[in-house]
Amino acid sequence: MTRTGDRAPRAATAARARPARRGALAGRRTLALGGLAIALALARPGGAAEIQFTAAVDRTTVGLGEEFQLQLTVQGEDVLSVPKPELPPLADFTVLGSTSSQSTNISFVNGQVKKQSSVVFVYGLSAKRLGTLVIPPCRLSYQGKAYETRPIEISVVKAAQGQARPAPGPAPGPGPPSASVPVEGNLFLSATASRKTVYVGEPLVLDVALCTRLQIANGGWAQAPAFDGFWAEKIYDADRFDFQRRTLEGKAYDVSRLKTVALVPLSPGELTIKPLAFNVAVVQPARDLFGFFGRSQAVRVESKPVRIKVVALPEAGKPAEFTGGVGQFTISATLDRRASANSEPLNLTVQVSGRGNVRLIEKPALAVVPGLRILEPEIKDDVRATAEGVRGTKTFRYPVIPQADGKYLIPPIRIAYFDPEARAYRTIATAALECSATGSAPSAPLVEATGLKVLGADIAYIKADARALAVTPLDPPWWPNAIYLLSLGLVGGAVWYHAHSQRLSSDRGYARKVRSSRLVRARLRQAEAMLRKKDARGFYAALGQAVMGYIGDRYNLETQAMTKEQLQAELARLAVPAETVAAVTGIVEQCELARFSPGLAEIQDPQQLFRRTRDALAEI
Amino acid sequence: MLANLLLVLALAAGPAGVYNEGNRLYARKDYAGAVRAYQQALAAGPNADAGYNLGNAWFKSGKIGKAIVAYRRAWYLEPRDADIAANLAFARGYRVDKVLTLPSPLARGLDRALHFLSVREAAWLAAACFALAALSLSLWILRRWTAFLAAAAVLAVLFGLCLGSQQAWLGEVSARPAVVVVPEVSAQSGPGEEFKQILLVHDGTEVRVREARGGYLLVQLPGGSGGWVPKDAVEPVYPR
Repeated sequence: MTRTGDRAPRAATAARARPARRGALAGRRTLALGGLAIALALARPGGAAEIQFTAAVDRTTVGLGEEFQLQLTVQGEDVLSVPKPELPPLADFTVLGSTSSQSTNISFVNGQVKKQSSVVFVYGLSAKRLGTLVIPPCRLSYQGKAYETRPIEISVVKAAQGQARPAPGPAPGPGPPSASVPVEGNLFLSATASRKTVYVGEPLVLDVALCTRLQIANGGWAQAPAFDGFWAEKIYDADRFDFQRRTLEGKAYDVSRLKTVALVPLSPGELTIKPLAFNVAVVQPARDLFGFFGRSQAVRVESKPVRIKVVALPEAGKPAEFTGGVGQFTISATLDRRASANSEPLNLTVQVSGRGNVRLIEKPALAVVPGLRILEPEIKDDVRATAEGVRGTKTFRYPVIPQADGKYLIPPIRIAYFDPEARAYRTIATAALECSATGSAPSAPLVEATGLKVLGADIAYIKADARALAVTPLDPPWWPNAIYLLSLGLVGGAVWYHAHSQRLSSDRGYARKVRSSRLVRARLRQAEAMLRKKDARGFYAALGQAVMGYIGDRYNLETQAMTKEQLQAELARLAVPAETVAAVTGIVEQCELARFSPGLAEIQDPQQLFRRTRDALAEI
Repeated sequence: MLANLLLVLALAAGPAGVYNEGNRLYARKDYAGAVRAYQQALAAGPNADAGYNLGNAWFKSGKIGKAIVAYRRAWYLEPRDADIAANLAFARGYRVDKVLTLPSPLARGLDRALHFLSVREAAWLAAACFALAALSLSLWILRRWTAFLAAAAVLAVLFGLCLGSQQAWLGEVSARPAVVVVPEVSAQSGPGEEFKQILLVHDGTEVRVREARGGYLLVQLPGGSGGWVPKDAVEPVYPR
């Protein structure tokens, strides 16, 4: 029986239709479990103390000259005193050495004590020639009975082939299945989140494991795992399978952890971790005991999507110093030196350490320290992710340049973070730091020149308290525009007045015209006074004078010496309207008539004449 | 909480009460409380002292850009106040971005001369000079005394200077100056996030707003370079 495959275990020989007793072999040789082959021979039954005598080799395919092991096992109720079995003549093999071990197992079955002992004799052998060799039956005599094992076939190949080992150590499945096993239900990829509800920024741990009841040859990610909406921090990445037996839903599986990541959700809401895809090569075992080994079958397994509920951080009570940290942190600050000479920069190092989303913590706001120029920080983070969570330290290194000599106090630096366990914000602060500067460039000459010692620079202090706070409008007022108009009016008025007075002095007609209304008003008042004194003669004289004087002033005429006809002709020449001329001459005529014929004066109504005169003069 | 209560109590005393309360909070180094108080005092209307103290409170809170805005508003009202000028220069020294182009000494001297008077003083004095010049001219017209003409000429020159100062202030306002009030913002080549980032400007950098479109402003730096920034990233010195 020559085998070309060497992956799957197989029974080389089974004696008396009893299944192989793997238990007897377990733990003796783990290096070559995959290549284990056993041969078993049961002792013929006889006598009361029945024992089992079996032979097995650790491999049935060996390289030429390579060491392999032959194990002879004696099992029974009390076999500790069993003699060493005798080896058959081994012409094709060299015996390299031998050793033996004993074990006893006591068990209670149905109230009875049952004692099982076993003695294992191990021989180191190596083959002397190529081909199929046979280890002949081994014999044992015990308590007068003879036992014999079955012969074992060994195929000897060239050395390299016989040493072939499975690549990424797939462990045997839960017992070598005797028939083709369906993939469905026996192979899946599990993705387990440590928590289903987290706050934004609070890390959770995702475990991805391959669970199988089949034999896996090898595997690899079908596509690189992506975690959209999360910041992923690697905790563990498998580079080989490491199967552990676990019971899942009542079935035994071999489980190998493939990947563990810490995930930090970046935004609130329902986030879904998309299915991860893994390709595996499943080894389908032999159809029958002596059939060909199964071919490997490529299978793609996907995990189920994992839904995570991400809760937004509460807005209520969020401190102004909050810099994005979620977890539990401490803060510390140090200055590399306490004193700076000649404006040399100091280094202010602020460290935030603890458990949580260390990488996402932003720089703390630093108070302005007058006289110190604090530059943008250099940021480093040192994060270790473990199954317990993410821990680490974020370091902000601020260069600080003194601008003036003096002592400075850097006030406590505060940050706030959210503690998801306490569901509250916490504010932490460093201690205040002191430093001093000497020899700063700008203030040095001042010290020497004036003897003043400049200790530092700061903004000027606030203005004092006020009794009332006057509002100063931003826009300029409107009233200057009124002033501009009035001023222009003033200049215009001056110009007009100047021209007016010039004309008054040079133009007689203009001056008479300007004066005429004032004079006629005076004469009319005089006439009115006469009327009140019942001096009819005087009244008519004054009235006639007023009319003639006014006409003279108005039209620049010498009216005193004019007759009625001359006046009429002059007025007509000056294009005075005919009815006005008629009215005026009528009044003048009446006045003269009344003055010189006293009887008539009483008959006429002087009041009515006065009104007529006033109206007529207003017309001109 | 206590500070808020005190503010409410001080509100009853009017803007001066809130302002005085702000001074007390400032003295106790509660700069955030002082900022709130001064802002409330200024809600009644602009005031140089309250604006200056607000600038101090912002500066002490580490907000250089906000401090520069407050100082510039106070300077607009009281341009000859030495404290305002000193603290404005001090705050400008803390900016990350340095001034790209320095004006010549002559231009700076002219600028200081034109901003010697505040805009209201300039408007007031210009009107007074104009009125007096007009009066002198009128007297000269009527009386022909040369002294009046000379006085009118001098007053006309003074009027021209005051008018120039007033125009300088109006030009300053119409230039729409603004200050970056966020720690860092990138100016983009267009009004939107998708455009290319072309410039990184920091807290306190003084810019001119040239155009507003959507939630974005086109700002220009003194050197001439500029770009679009989100509206909230800058605060105009003279809000309209």
